[in-house]
Amino acid sequence: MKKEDIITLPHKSLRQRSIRIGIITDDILKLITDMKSAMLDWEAARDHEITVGLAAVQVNKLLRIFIIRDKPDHSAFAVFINPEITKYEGKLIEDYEGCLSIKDIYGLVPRYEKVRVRAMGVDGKIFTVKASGDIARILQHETDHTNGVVFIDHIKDTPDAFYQLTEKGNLHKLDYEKDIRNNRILW
Amino acid sequence: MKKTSETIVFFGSGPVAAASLGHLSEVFSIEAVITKARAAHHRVAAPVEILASTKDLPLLFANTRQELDELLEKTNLKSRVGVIVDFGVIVSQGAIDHFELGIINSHFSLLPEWRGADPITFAVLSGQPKTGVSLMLIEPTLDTGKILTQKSLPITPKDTTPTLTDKLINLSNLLLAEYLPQYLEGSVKPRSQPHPDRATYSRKLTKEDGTINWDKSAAELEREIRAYAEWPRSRTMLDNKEVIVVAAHVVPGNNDKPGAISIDEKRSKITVATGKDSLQIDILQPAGKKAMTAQAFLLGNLK
Repeated sequence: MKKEDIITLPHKSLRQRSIRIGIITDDILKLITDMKSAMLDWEAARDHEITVGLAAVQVNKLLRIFIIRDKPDHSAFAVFINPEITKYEGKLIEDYEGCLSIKDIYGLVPRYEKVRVRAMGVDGKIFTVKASGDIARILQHETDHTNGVVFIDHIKDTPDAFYQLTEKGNLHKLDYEKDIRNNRILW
Repeated sequence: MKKTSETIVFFGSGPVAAASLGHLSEVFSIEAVITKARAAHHRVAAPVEILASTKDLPLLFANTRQELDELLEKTNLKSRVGVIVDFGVIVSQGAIDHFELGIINSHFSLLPEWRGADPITFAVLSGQPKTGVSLMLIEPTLDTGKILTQKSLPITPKDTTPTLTDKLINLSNLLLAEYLPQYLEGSVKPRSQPHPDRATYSRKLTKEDGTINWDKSAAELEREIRAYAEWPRSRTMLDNKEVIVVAAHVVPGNNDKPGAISIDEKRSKITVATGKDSLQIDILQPAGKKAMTAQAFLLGNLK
């Protein structure tokens, strides 16, 4: 898959719940490989952005799967099938996040500091991870996708939380009234 | 999910800087490379310049502290952190403050040991069994900053300054790749240098450092030969010719006054008495010639 296979708002699939995976078939494994290459292809075309996670719904497959890149240098992928957040811990922390399916917009999104996630791996075995910081944020963002939620839904009533990436790679605050509130692409 | 990529600004000028930049540019996005402009009489581009142009990294020049201040003032870089290796320009507090998370220096010693310009040579010279790399947040004072991490490696009896430099570059690259992302994430706490009262200092070498003083001990001279292997090299006069001693070893005892040369009956060994014990010269290089064994040298000299 290529970056063109990644869907963006206002695509309707992005606000739909994905379905659970029963057994891991070859088609599922192929989809996971395709998602990785779509992610890398997307990133290669960007100067100032890196990809850290992608859910199957973003390539228009309504399946409860996401992949994340979990090393500091982002070299390794981890696969989560039927993910569930089983525990939220710590404070709500605001930080910038963006989404491959939402063009140009970044947001200051509150997320829990720590989470526990239970999911199935590509080997079909159930595992649990405890994560904090950046990884906890990514896990919350991607699990949302499997439930038809995108990050802007968390901040839709927070005028100060919307930013735009400039050509130089800096984030500039957007005019909520003008650019966000009645933006038919987003809502 | 996507994030804006974290970029770094790299400061470096010399060959060690180039080796570090080559590795860093694989692991991080480099917003800009800041280097010293090459001297007017240097016709070939410096390794950092070449690397920056082949990798298409933005290259900026600063030769003094003031020039660096002005450059940072007008370029408005967005990186939260700078990395400085082998730069050769002193950095002001104002320049450091341009970076939210400061500027990290990879210093090739176990600080507070061998602060200063030439830590590797002085580590070899001292005969100490190990040295290492310290990642430090720089301060305007010389090598006194807080430490993110340190790792040591052994100095072998065969190590010369160039061989040890290669090993330290590798270690430095590994440390930067591992600890820089952690520091950016906020999971590394910088700590003060241990025992600042035990700090030792290195200095820039001069050509005179390379003139062998036979009053020193043979062990010390043998270390000088390894420490000065690249520059200034260890020079002495043999048979009224200037030679560079490339390799030598210590032999116990001395039966003459320092500087006295003895040659064995088979004419294969040159041994020079020193202040303590003697030094047997294994490989030497006469001025304008290639390096040769003592035996080869004796075929035409010291008859």
